[in-house]
Amino acid sequence: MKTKPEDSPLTEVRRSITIGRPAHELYGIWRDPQNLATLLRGLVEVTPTAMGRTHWVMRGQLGTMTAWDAALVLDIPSEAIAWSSIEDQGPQRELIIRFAPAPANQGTEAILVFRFDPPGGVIGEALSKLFSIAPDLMLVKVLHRFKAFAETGEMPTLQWNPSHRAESEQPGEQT
Amino acid sequence: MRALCWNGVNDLRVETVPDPKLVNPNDVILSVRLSTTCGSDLHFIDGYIPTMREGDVIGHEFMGVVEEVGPGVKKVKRGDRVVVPSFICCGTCVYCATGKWSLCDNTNPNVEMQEPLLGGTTAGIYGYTHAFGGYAGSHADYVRVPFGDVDCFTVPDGVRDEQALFLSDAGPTGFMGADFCNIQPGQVVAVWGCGAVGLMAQKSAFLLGAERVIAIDRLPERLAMAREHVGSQTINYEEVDSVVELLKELTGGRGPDACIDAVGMEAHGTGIGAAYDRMKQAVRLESDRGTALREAIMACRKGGVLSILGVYGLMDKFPVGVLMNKGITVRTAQQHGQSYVPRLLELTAAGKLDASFLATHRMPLEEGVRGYDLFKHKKEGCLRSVFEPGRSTLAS
Repeated sequence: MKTKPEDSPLTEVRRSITIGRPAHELYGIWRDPQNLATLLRGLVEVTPTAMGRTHWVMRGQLGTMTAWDAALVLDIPSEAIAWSSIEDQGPQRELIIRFAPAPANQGTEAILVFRFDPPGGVIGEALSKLFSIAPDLMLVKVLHRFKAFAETGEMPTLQWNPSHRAESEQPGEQT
Repeated sequence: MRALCWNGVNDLRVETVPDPKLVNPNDVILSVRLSTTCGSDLHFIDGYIPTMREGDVIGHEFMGVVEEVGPGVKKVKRGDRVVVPSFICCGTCVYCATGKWSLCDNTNPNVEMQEPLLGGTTAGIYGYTHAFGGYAGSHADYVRVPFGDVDCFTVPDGVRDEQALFLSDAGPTGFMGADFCNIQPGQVVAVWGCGAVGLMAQKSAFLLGAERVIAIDRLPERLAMAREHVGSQTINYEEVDSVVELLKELTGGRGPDACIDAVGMEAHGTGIGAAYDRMKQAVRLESDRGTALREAIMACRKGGVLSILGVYGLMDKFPVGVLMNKGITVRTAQQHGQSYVPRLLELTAAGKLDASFLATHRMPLEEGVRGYDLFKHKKEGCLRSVFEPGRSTLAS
């Protein structure tokens, strides 16, 4: 889902998933910087910097790159975490994960929100410079990885997947 | 290792590719003993469905011997002879926990390709398109099986490799199709298609208590198999004016209590509907030829069950109004194999089921291209080609 939030100049995409685990556990997964990096692997590289801050690098199609530094701006155990870019001049980015109980013991509903300042020009062409896949589908991928990790302890992967392609000699054809 | 690879539309080749490795904790590496062709492979071989990539290792119906196990694997051991359903299932998510295995939420690494096509996601499959996971397939010396404890089923000593092989896909798919029909004493089940899945659906309908099974196909050798190996009555649709009218006549005007479609998107057929489909499919306006499914809907008894096993994409001219007015219940799914494999292994061990007759052609994996040619064009009475990969030990 893509909208323009009323209180923000940023464009917003969001997706949800239901996970058969309690919210406090799910919160704990996102709160760990190493897990954060793993969940976003291949889409955004997140590395810890000083004072609880993180450096984010996102590659678009054709090798274009966007980078920003982010701070934790919201941290409510079992409910929500948000990371927001800290420099006024650079790209404006926010990633928010929220948890709410699902009905009838189905676990927890997680909603992942990504906000970004849209680039100029033709929107589709410009988006492909920012993102390697459509931003809402990026969220779908991250949420499914998250669910798999929370429910099974591992994420589905094509690492070392045999094929008659040169890249299958490499560990990470696509993850 | 050696593997049968898809290199483009109607371009298969046996190639040398890297061996698989244990990646996730619950992975198992299998040395493949037998692996077979499936009609659903033809959809990407012929280019009707997207997201294949050049160099993909294909094949998803197989059995073999466990070579290596990951640190999370508790039950499965090196040396176990096992059969593996074609859908990769985690065993933990709500879908696996409620028996809807092929809907597993946690095994498709390429959900972003599939979600826009289906409005949802399925389990990953071995050796299929990248939208369905992109996992390397089983027409190879070795295959990586994620969630080994969930997806590997030990084959009892009395069950031969060739009997176990088809319990990977054709067996459980056919059994599920019959199970969907909720068969009651005295009921008649009609099955469109006498390929491996159709024949297994017919056999399963009898095992689940059907009074009579009527099989519909056009190939004399397949109809003979339905009669001789399963005990079905048969209809050659090319030799009758109307399959629907004949089915009514054979069932006292009621129509079959349940109709199973085991044909799918590349149905042959006769008449104006078939010509329309074929033309639109040829120019890629429609991915499916739906003759069998339309006939099944027309023939089905009022209040009956339509069980769809054939693989479809998009279809025009689908008679939803007939379903509604006749109060037909539609049941369909990709195979929930993990629900059925233990029972099918028991039935086989007890001598009540023997799927090995499906293996009309057996050959080394090196002859895989020929195997698909025989299978696709139904040459030499081919129902299924079965490949025997090499048995060398895993290179480190």
